[in-house]
This record gives sequence, C-alpha cells and structure tokens, in this order.
Amino acid sequence: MEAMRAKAGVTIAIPNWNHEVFLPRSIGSALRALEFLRAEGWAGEVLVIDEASRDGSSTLLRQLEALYFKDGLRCLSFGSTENIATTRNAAAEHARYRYLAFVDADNELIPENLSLFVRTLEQTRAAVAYGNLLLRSTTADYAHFMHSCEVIQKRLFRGGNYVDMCSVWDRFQLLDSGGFDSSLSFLEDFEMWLHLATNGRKIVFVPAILGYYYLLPTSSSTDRSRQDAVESRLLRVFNQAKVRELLPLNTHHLRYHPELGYV
Amino acid sequence: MNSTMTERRRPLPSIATVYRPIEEYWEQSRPVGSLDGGPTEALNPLDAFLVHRLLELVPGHPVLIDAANALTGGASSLIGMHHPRAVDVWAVVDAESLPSRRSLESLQRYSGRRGATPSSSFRPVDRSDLLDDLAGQAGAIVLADARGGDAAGLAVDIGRWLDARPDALVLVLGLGRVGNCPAVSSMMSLCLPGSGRRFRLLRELSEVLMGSSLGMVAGDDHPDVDVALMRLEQLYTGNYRYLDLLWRANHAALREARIDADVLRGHLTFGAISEEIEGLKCAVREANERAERAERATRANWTSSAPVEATASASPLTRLRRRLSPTPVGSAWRLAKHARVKLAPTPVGRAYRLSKRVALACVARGR
Amino acid sequence: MHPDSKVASPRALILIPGSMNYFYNQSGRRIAEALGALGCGIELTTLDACPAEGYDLCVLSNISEILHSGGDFEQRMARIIDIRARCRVMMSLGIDCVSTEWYHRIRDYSARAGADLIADLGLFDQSPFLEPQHRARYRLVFSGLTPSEARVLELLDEDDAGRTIPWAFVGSSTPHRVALIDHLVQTVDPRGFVYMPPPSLCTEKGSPHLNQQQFERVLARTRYQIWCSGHSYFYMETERFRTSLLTGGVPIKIIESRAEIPASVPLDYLMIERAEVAQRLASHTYARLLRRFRDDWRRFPMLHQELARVLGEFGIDAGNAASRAA
Repeated sequence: MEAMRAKAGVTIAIPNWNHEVFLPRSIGSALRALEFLRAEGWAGEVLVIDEASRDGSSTLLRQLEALYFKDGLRCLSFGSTENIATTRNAAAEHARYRYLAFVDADNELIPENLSLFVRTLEQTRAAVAYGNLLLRSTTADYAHFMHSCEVIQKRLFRGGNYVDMCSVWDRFQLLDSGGFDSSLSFLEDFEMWLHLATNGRKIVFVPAILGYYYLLPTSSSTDRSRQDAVESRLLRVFNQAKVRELLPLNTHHLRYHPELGYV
Repeated sequence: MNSTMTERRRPLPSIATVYRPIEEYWEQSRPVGSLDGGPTEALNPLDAFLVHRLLELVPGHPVLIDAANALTGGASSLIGMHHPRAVDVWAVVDAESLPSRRSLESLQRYSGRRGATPSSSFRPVDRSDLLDDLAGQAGAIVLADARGGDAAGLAVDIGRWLDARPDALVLVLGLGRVGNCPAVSSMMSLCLPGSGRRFRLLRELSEVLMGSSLGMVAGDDHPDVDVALMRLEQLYTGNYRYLDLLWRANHAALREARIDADVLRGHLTFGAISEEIEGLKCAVREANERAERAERATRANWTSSAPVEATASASPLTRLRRRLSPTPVGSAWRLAKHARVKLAPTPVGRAYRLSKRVALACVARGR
Repeated sequence: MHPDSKVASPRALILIPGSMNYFYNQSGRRIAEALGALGCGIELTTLDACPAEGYDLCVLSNISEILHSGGDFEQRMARIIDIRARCRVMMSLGIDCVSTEWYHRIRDYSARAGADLIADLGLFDQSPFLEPQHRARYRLVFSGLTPSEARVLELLDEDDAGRTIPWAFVGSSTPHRVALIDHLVQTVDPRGFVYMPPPSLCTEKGSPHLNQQQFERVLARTRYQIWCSGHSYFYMETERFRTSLLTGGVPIKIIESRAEIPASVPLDYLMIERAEVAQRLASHTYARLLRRFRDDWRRFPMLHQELARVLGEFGIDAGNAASRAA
C-alpha cells in the first residue's frame, strides 16, 4: 500500500456535493489535464469524491467511471455527508500519487498549465503551489475578476483570505501537517494557510492561470456573517498577540515560475 | 494509514475501490504465466466491478468459483476475497497447467503476506473435483475466461456446470465482438431457444457499459437473474449520454436560466466592474455632449479648401477618422465603442440587442 | 567668447520620489544619464536630501509622487517652490497619458510650483489631445535610448530558443484586463505569465510585487509583453515599449480599434485589436516583428539629443556642453 502511495504523479481531486450539473466541466478539464501531464511523463488520476449527493451525481459518476476509468477517472462515494475539510482529508488519504491538485466540482482547470504547478512543487519542495484564478459568472465567456493573484504576505494575519483552495499540494506535507481542520465548515482553507505559514511550510505563488472559478447564486462563500465570525476566531488562534507581522515567515513573498526560478 | 489523521469512513463500492486491491496484488506478486501486461489486461476493471456488484445483488450467500484465475493471474479471485459480504472463494486449479499452479502460488503468497486484508480466504479446488463440489454448493457463481482459446471446450464446461448445478450463474470474462468472437458464438449455440439456458452480454444493459466484455449464462428460470440485471441496469441509467454532450446540454441550460446578472449583483467582486461600467456611461454622456458642441463648431469652421491628408491607400472615411481621432468627436466615438464592448455581455447589452432586433423586425414588417 | 575660454557646464538637479513607484526613480536616472552624456553636472536625489544650492536645471520625476512620498504636502510644495527660485529652469517630467487624472495632477502641481515646462517622456506628441490653454508648457521629449541602453541593444541576439514563456501580462487588475487575459488564454496560448495584483505601489524594495529587475528577468524569457491601458484613451506606454526592447522581446499593446491610432505615430504595427491578436501573434510572425521593432528603434533619436533640443528652447545650452567637456 505504501509503495503505491509513493508513486510519482498527480491526483486531481474533485470533491462533490450535489453539483451534478457542473461535473462534466470539472471532470472534463481534469481528464484533459491528465493528457498533458502524461505527455510530459507524469502519471495521474482524477479522483472524484462524492459526499452522499442526492441530485443525480452518484448515477452520473457511476456512468462516467465506467466510460473513463481507463483514462484515469476514479470515483469514491461516501454514504454520509461531512464537510469539505473532511472530504479533502479523504482525498489525501485515498490519492494514489504524491502531488494532489484540488479542484472544486463547479470550477475548471486550464489543462495545459497544471504541470507548471507540479514542477514548482518538485523544484521548490513547497507544501503548496497556487496560481491565478479567473472568476466568471455562471455562463460567461470571459472573466471579470482575478483571484489568488498575489503572493503570501503578512497581511494575511490581519484577515481577509485572498488565496483559494484550488491549488496543488505535496500530499505528504499535507498529511504530515495533520490535514485540514475537520471541525470547520467554513474557512477551512484560510485556516490551512495560516496553519502552514505558522508551521514554517512554504506556500508558493506561480504567476500563471491555474483555472476558472465560477460564481453560483447560492454559493456558501457568499454567506458573509458566518464567515466573519469564524475568521475572528481564527485570527485569535493564530495571531492573538498581534505580532505575526513582526516575526519571520518562511513563506513570505514566495513567487516562482519553473522557467525562471524564484521571481 | 497516516498516524496524524484518522479517516474512519469507508467508501461505497466503485471501480476504484474494487480494483485497488487488484492493482496492489499485481504490484506485489507480479504473477507470471498470466496474460502479459498490467492488471487491466489480465482483468478488465469494469468487469471486475460488475462481478463485484453481481455478488452483491444476488441474494443469499454467494460463493465465487474462480475458474478464470489461471488467465487472470489470480486477480479474479480477489474480487471475492475483498467483497464485504465475506464471499467464499474457490480457486479452481488445474494441476497440469503451469499458469494455474503459479496463480495459486501467487494467491497463497498474497494471503499470507502481512498487509493483505481480504474479507475472506480462498480454498483451492482441483478442476477434476469441481463438478462434484459444485453439485452440492448453493449460491454458486462460476467465473470463467473466454481468452483461453478453446471456445467449444468452454461451452462444454459451462453446459456441465449448469447440469450439475442448475441454479448456478456462470460469468464469462473476455468476450469479444459478436461475429468476431468464437466464444460468443459458442455461448449462443449453448443457449439456443428451448435449451433451458439464456446467454446475456452485460454491455447490452447500458451504453455506458460498452467497455465490458462480461457475459452471463444461467438457467432460463433462474429466480434472481432478471432482478439482478435490472438493478444493475438501473444503476447505470441516468439522464445523460456522454461527457461532452453533457457539458453542452448543461451549459445551455445554465445560460437559459439567465442567472448571471443576479449572481454578479450579489457578489462582492462585482463592485469593480459595476464602477467601471458606470464610469464609462458617465464618460460617454459627457463625451457625447462635448462632441455635439465640437461638431457644431467644426461645421461652422469647415471649408471646402481645408487640406485633406492624401494617403493613397486609406479610404476617405479612414482619413476622416484619423483626422478626428484627437478631437472630442474621436474621444466620444472611442468611449461609446468602449462602453458598448463592456456592456455587451451584461443584461444591458442583451437588452440593447433585443431592442435592435425588435426595431429591425418592425421596420421590415412596415416595408 | 574665445573658444579656449572655459564655460561651466550646466548643473542639473534631478529629484526622484525614492519610496513610491519605482518607474519614476528609473526615469530620473535615465534623464541623469542622458544629461551626463551632454556633459552636465548631475545631482540625483530625493526632496528630503536635496542640497540647498542653485542649479541651471531642476527636473522633477514625478512631481505628484515627490509630493506624496511622505511628510506634509504643503511643506513639500513649499520646498519645491523654493528650489524653483534657485534654478534657472524647472522641468516637470511625466510619462502619462495627458487625458488622465495622473497627468492633470502633474499639470496642476507643476503650475503651482512654477515649472517652466512639462516634459512628456513619450513616443508621440500628445499636444493635440490637450486643451489649447495647456499646450504652451507641454513638450514631447522622445524617449530614445541612453548610451548604456544603446549598448545593451547592440548586444542582444535574435535567438529565441530560451524564450519559453509565450507572453507576459504584468499590471494591476481591472475587469477589462481580466477579460483580455481570458481571451489570450483561450485564443493565443494558456501558458502566459500573468501577474495582476490589485492596484498598489511597486517600490524598488520590500514590495510584494515585481520590481524592475524581476520584471526584466521575466521579459528576458518571454516572447511578447502584452498589455492594454487601464483607461480608455489612446496612449503608448513608453516604458513598456522600452523595457521590451532592452530585454529582447516584442511589446504588443491591445487596443479597441486601429482607427483610434493617430496618424504618424511610430510602431503602430505593435498595436493590435483584440479580435486580431490570435492571428497576429502566430509563432511565425515573432522573428519578423522583433527585427522590425529593433530596426525602427535604432532610427529614433537618442534621449540626450532630445533633451538638448528641448532645453535649448529654454536657454539651457546642454547641446554644446558635451563638446566643451571633450
């Protein structure tokens, strides 16, 4: 089991909870990304993790796995719903390969660019590599906003997460760090950035487009009041004495491109 | 399991969960004498999963009798050994066949190795004893493989198994295309109308199962087969067909729902684009007013003797545009065009285009 | 005057912001090098460190940023007015589109400080875009190369084997630019280098954003630098063209319509409409564009020649200072 889990390659993990309508887009982009990775000599899989969806996702995933298993599609279904942090931890446990890309079911990868992030992890030994995300409304042809477009800065400890979880991980460092805080239903990504940063891990920004982030009308990220409460608690946990901006940070201003090195 | 995290939940069966132990078995044992290549050549992952599901769907306590293990390198036995229903597994061994003996050895090593945690064990059954043992075993599901090359011999064996145990199910791996595959022809000959037997290809249950090479032979009156196959078919029957068609259909539906405007209005990232559009609208209004004033002034000053740039290749309109470019008329034109481009994908743009179509239609009718 | 008589070379004071956006520090250094090539004595400093001496010429690069780079605005304005009194000529430098608020602030502050002229370090004459009453103080100083930059240009080769990044877009994020990026990703090449943070200062050190050195490292491995203006007016961003030239790549500006390009503007083939960009940036056109771009720039006047021409109008005889120095 351990030998298989040390395989060099990329698992693209897609957590799904009742996003049947968007799965073809996210899975299609992930499978195309695998084709580009294979052309560069990387092995890979697309691992969809379904959290007891009721909307048709499970039937659709069953069909898609039958059709695309040979192309690298793998599906895991759980009979109960936990939260996204638990799902991501499940991805980390069940992934076959060393590098782990998280893509939400309603988002989309730029297939050609995933290897830039994988190579960044290889070359920098960082825990995470993330990049620009183009924000589109649900069916727009063009984006109107860019997210996750800056390096990690100390102002993160003042609040206001600006880095999305759509990113590529060294799975071993994720597991060794204890994974995501499964007690959180909100801002588990923000908590993870603060956790990695304060534990000396490297979080590297790659100045390339990683994917598209689509806005949905009932996205949980639009519920501001709950987010604010959780964020306040996190800032008390990680920066109670308000000294983080004065302390050294291994992951400060890290920006890397595989063709250039650190920029 | 990583000691810093505990994942207590067990996933439901999928091709991935069923095939993972097979892949690990293949990595560890690399059985020789079986078909060359990786595990997927020895045992089709989709067929492994379908066998797993059938073991689940058939009531009672099924016993998997693996007569295919010589050709699958023992991998087919793992389907039963890792089945959560704790299915008993018989590994049929042909003492005179080297691949069969080697598969048995691989399975025995796998069972004994630390870390292999099958739900149930297996027991070797000599091929010469199979008919006698089968006759006394309820819930028998026999797994055979058509890739051995002896299609006629396989049909004879299946006929004997079903004679010995009429309520057995026989699953046959490795069936090719109808018309090309001798084994399919043999199965059909075995199961002619009036024979009391029925032959089915599982890929006919659903178009998404077209990658399957698994067939089933059972008695016509088997009480569980029709229900099991119906349930299997229903598991794979959804509302869609293929991935790319899926995306187009969903995308079109999302566009039809016209939710973009509401989504944008409610989202904090819309502030910047909203300000930009409002700014452009104001600038267009101001520029239009300046342009009108400038145009009136220009008309008053324009004379027929005013020099016009002679550019051999540029049209008069292009020359005029270039001349007006630095003036307020040019600014207004550019701002108007910029605003049109910015507003085009928004509800304002769509409303403009709709009104234009309506206006053109009215004009056409008026002709 | 007898040719053997020694006439003192003009002395120039060049004020730079220091701590604000690095490109105005850089412009100040370029002007300093160009004036030095003319034989002028140079003092390059910030307002806070400015000596209390008199000069023939004072250059403000850029008056808005100098005034807002720390301390009380009115006190800093008063100091600039005081410097004006000690100098024969005060030149306020801009590298902005004259239709924008940034230029309007330069114009208004310069008028208040008593600057004699606003030197537009640019690539085309923007005076037709000014209101008539603001044209008198405006002068185009063509942003030709300095001597050190000319040497860099001569040393560049045309081998693009190491340029593995197809295009780079660096600038602050606006909805229009983001849509353009999306268009480039879809139609040209998804592997572009994209750095578009929210608007903020780009200082030389300590900033989380790219400084000049880092930006040049990126461009040295990139074929095309692509950008569009953050406003809706026609403008040729001088520094973008120049930086691409000196890092060996090709600058491409995306515009709404070619009809907005004024007649006789140089390098118009490097300004492309969005709808044409995929076709025009096909891989086989790169070498041809690069060669033409470099050849055209070699024909442009050098920066010190332009400065000599403009300053001559205001009685600064910098053009002869080089020969006197020799």
